[in-house]
Amino acid sequence: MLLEVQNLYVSYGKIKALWGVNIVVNKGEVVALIGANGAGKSSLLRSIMGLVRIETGTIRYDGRNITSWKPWDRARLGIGFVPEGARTFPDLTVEENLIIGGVLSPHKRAVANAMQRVFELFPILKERRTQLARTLSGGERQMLSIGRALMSNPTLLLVDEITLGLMPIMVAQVFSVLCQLNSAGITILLAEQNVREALSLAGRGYVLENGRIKLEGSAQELRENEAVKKAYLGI
Amino acid sequence: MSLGYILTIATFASIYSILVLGLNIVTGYAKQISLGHAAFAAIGAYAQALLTVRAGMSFWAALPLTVLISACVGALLGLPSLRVSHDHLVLTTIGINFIVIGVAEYFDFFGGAMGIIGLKIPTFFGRPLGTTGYFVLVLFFVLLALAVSHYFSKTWARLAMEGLGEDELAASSLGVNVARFKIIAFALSSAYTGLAGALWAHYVGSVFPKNFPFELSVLFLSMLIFGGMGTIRGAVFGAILLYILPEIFRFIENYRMLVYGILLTIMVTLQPQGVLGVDGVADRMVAKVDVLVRRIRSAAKP
Amino acid sequence: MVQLIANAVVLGCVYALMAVGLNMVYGLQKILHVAHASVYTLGAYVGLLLSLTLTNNLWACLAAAMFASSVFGLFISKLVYQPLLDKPRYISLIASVGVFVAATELFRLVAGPYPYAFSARFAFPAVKTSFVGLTSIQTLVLCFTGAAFFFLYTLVTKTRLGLAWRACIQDMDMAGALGINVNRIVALNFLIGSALAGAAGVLVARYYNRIFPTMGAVVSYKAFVVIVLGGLGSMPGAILAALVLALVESVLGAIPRFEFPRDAIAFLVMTLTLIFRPKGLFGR
Repeated sequence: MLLEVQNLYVSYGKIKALWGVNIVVNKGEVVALIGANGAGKSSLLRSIMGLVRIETGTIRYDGRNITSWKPWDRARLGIGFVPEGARTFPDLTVEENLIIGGVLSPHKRAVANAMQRVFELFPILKERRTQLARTLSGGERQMLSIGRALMSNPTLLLVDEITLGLMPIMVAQVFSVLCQLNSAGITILLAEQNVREALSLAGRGYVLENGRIKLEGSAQELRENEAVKKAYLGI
Repeated sequence: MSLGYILTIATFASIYSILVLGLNIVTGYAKQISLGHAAFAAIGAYAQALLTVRAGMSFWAALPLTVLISACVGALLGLPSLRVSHDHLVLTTIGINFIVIGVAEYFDFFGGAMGIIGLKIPTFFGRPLGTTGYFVLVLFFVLLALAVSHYFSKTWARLAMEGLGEDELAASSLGVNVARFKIIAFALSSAYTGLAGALWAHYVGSVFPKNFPFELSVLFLSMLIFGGMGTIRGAVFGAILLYILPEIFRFIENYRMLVYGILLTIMVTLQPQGVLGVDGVADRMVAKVDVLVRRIRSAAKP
Repeated sequence: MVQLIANAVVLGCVYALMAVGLNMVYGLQKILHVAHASVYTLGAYVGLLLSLTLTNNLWACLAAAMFASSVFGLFISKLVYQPLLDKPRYISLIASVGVFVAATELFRLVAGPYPYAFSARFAFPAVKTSFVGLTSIQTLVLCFTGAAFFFLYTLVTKTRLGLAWRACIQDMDMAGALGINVNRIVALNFLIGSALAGAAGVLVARYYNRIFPTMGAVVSYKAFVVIVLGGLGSMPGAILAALVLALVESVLGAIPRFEFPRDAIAFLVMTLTLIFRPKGLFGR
């Protein structure tokens, strides 16, 4: 068991975002989080990263209780984060964004190697390496965001709504990259509204509704579930 | 302690209450932090001084004019709040404080650094009001201020204001005219403050630029925060308590601003809702007692 | 006239030294750090203490002041701002005002309300030509400011630390999620900004030969005006605005029989600018 979230409660002021969520992610898996906008997917990923204050509950990673850890200490453990909306640093160049991603590497050589691998994965980023991130297109920014997270060689990658607003051809490309990363051994927890694609990539999934886990099961089970079909697959 | 002394303290505490109630409108309801309310008090005090001493008007004739002038100037000074961000606005209110003092000091029309002296205690049917009479008068204005504040907080204006503080976009999407409400808040707030300034000036008998420093604005804000922003009871409680405490404990006079400063920091850090604010110290104590009482009751029942 | 401009530039340097600290804090955490004034005053008093006791050497005073001020700045950051991070921002502003008021009173209570003379000794070349003359303290202010800004510029643009700092300014949460120890960056930010304020305190004290409890107030209000004019958070804007403000003040101050208070001029300029350009003179 790589990641275990137990009985997680999160609220923003008076608004409750998560009500006693339990999830498990095993090493090497791709796990999908499915749910409508505002169901709590982002809140869940952000609390795993340590970016929101949680009320109660525990988060365990690799056997360690990291519930009260700071985000940067979690990153050091090998958790990578690709946030909703990419959130690349707009006034840094592509290269600088990647260097920031590799901030945990002790050696310059390691950073250079990691950057080389990112450029192999996304050749377009190499072309744009001296451009400011604000000048990139939406899809390029998503690639940069993934590349930035990969710079630290993460074990677990948290991916939030990566296909939001992307053209279909980009969606396919991004999913093939995720598939590639998974076969290279990276565990992925994926929040997606693009349910069909997500379930074809993932082995298992959780359905979130109003901050609670409504359903869980293998991708196969979820695909065949009537409620899921109706609500998310449009069948 | 003589009765006269007590009355004097009570009069000042009441004037401060009016003022902090005014600050509460702009800061508590509209969530626009003002660190320049001493300037609004100065405007009221100076307007009243000019109208009575220079123009020879009576207290009663001048007071409505003063309040009106204060409201207009307040609305005018509230204009920047429409265009600039919260952070810029705070700095602008600090700036207004300095500008108003600067103007009062520089122009002979306002008496310069020598100020204006000779404001008289008003008369009532030909007889001058004594200390008691003036206290009653101030008390009347406190009640008036409370009534207006109550009305203001109960009507839809409060909803609009609170929406405006939290999220302007949300407020404007609810059909609230944000600009209009900000201006109303500033005008009403400085009307209160101008009134308090005028009452203060008549009681003291003179106005000087030095009476309205930036530190005074800080004091007003401390009073409001200590009592509890956004509530009428909090504003009044904060004003009275923080005014009276140093009067009772004379020995801390020298440490007054030090205590205010520390109090302000600790209060806002640990208890931003204040003593009597919504969900403040008092509310929570009441809630705790409530829970306790219920427990005892349910324990008493077999 | 040239002399007037030279004096104004020196004054502008002082404003800029203060403004940079305020701007760093605002840029990173969006806090209006009013208590920066107390950090500055503390620097001056620490310099004074040293000159009255151990050594009358200005360099030593400067070093001690920078150390003490940076510790004080860090202290404010950890004890006051840190716990307020997820509260609305006006709360940290009010807390900051509280610290400022309390610290000013503390200086008054400990050192007394009256000004002290401060004339620590130092050796630094003065400039004397036919058309402009700078005293040695003036040249020291100029050189110190220049060196400080060169150091900052190099740090920010050429080092990995500076890169991390820039990333934090643009998106602090995300920088933390990528492994940057944000707390450490915030601490460093306060450390540097406060050290510069402390240095400014000693330099100004030496310049005017005066130290008093409220000496921080006017300079820091001016620094606020400067960062507003320059566009909140913008470094080049702040430096430029500092020079412009100092020039305007000096020129207006040189007009005979025009005695409108200088502090009010600064705020008048700021308020008017904000009405017409809400993001500041040089803000985008």
